[in-house]
Amino acid sequence: MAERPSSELLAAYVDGIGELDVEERRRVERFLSDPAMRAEQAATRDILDQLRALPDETPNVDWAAMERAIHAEVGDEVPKRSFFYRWRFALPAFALAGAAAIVFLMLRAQEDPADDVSPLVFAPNPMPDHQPPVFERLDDRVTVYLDGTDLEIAETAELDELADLDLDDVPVDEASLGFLEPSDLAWIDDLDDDALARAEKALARPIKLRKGSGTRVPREGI
Amino acid sequence: MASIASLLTGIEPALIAVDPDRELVERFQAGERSAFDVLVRRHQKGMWRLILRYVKRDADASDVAQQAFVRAFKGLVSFRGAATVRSWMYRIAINCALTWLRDHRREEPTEIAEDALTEAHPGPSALIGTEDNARLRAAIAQLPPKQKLVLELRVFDDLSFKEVAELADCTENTAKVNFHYAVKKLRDILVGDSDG
Repeated sequence: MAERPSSELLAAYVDGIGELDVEERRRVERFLSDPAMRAEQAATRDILDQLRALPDETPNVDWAAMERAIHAEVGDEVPKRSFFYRWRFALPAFALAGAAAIVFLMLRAQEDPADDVSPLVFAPNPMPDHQPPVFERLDDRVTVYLDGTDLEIAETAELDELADLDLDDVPVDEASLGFLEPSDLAWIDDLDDDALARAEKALARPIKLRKGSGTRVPREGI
Repeated sequence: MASIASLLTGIEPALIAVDPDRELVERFQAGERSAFDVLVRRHQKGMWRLILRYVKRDADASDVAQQAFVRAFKGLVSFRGAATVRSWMYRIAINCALTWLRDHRREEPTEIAEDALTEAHPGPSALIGTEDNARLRAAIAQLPPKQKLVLELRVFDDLSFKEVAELADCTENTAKVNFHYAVKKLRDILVGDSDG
C-alpha cells in the first residue's frame, strides 16, 4: 500500500496524538521539521480550539422527561439473556462435530460393500438333501417360430436343468427317434377332466403381442 | 519520553483506551437495572444531537432517541464489547433515525439526501452566537458531507477516530485523513471570508 503524504495526518496528530501509531507519528514528525509546516500545525490547533469553544447549540430539551419516558417503556426488569447466548461459543464446535459426523457416515456409505462381507466360512449345507435347488433367471427368453409367428417363450428353471442333463443315458425309442408321432394323439383321450380344464384355461389366456414381430406368452401358459 | 510514547503507541490504541461505559454494561448484565439509567443520562444528549442531523426536528429527534434507547436496553444484555458502548449506541441511534426517515419519507416535503446526516441543522441558536461563531458554523455547513460528519463526530461528540470510522463506515485512517481535510477546508473558507 502506498504511503500517504504525512501532511494528511497533521490534524489527527494535533488533535489526538495518542491515536496515531508509531509509524504514523514518525511520518508526521518528519514532516514537521519544515518551519512552514510547523506554522500550519499551529493554525490547525487554533481552529480546533475555536471549534471546541463553540457554545452548545442544543436547544432546551427536557432530558429528565426523556429519561422517565424511556424508563417507563422498558420497565424495571433487566432482560434475560436467551438460552442460546450462553452456548454461543459452543455452537460452532457442535456444528463442526455434526458436520464431521455426517461426512464420516457418507464416507462409510460409499465404501465397497465387499469390504463389509464376513470371511468365507465353510459350513455344512443347512438345506435338506431331498429338496431340489431352485433356479430362476428372470431374463430368460427363447424365441420360437410357430405358425408364421415369433413367440417369445420364457424358459423355466426346469428347462435349464433339462438342458444340463446327459441325454446319452435316456432310453430312446428307435422307431420315433424320440419324437412324438404327429398322428398319435391317442394320449389326449387319456387326459382326465382336470387336465383338460387346465389346458383349456391356458389356451383361453390372452397372448400379449410384443413390440416387434414376436408375441409374449405367459410362463405358466407353456 | 519517546520510548514511553513508543511503548504506548506501539499497542493498539483501542486496547489502551478504557471504555468508561464498560463497567456500567457489566453491572447491567449482572442485573443492575439502574446502570442503564446512568448510560441514558450520559449519552442521551449526544445521541439526540446525532439523530437530529437526520430528522431535522427537535421533537422527532426526541422520539427517535427514545426508540434508540429502548432498543439499546433490549440488546445490552448481549453486548459483546467488539466496539465501545458509545459507538454501539450511536450506531443504534443512526439505524433508528434511518428507519424513521424511511417511514416518514412521504411526510418530508424536502427530499432526504443520502448525506442527510451531514446537512446543516438550521437551529435557531446558530444565529444567536457571536459573529465569529456564526461564521464558523456557516463554514462547517459548507464542508463536503463526509468531512463534515467526521469533523462533527470528532469535535462535538468527542469520539475517537476508531469510533468515528465505525459510524462513518470507513477505515480509521480514512477518518483521520478526512478530519485533516475538513480542518484545512474550514481554514480556507474562513480565510476567504476574511479576505472578502
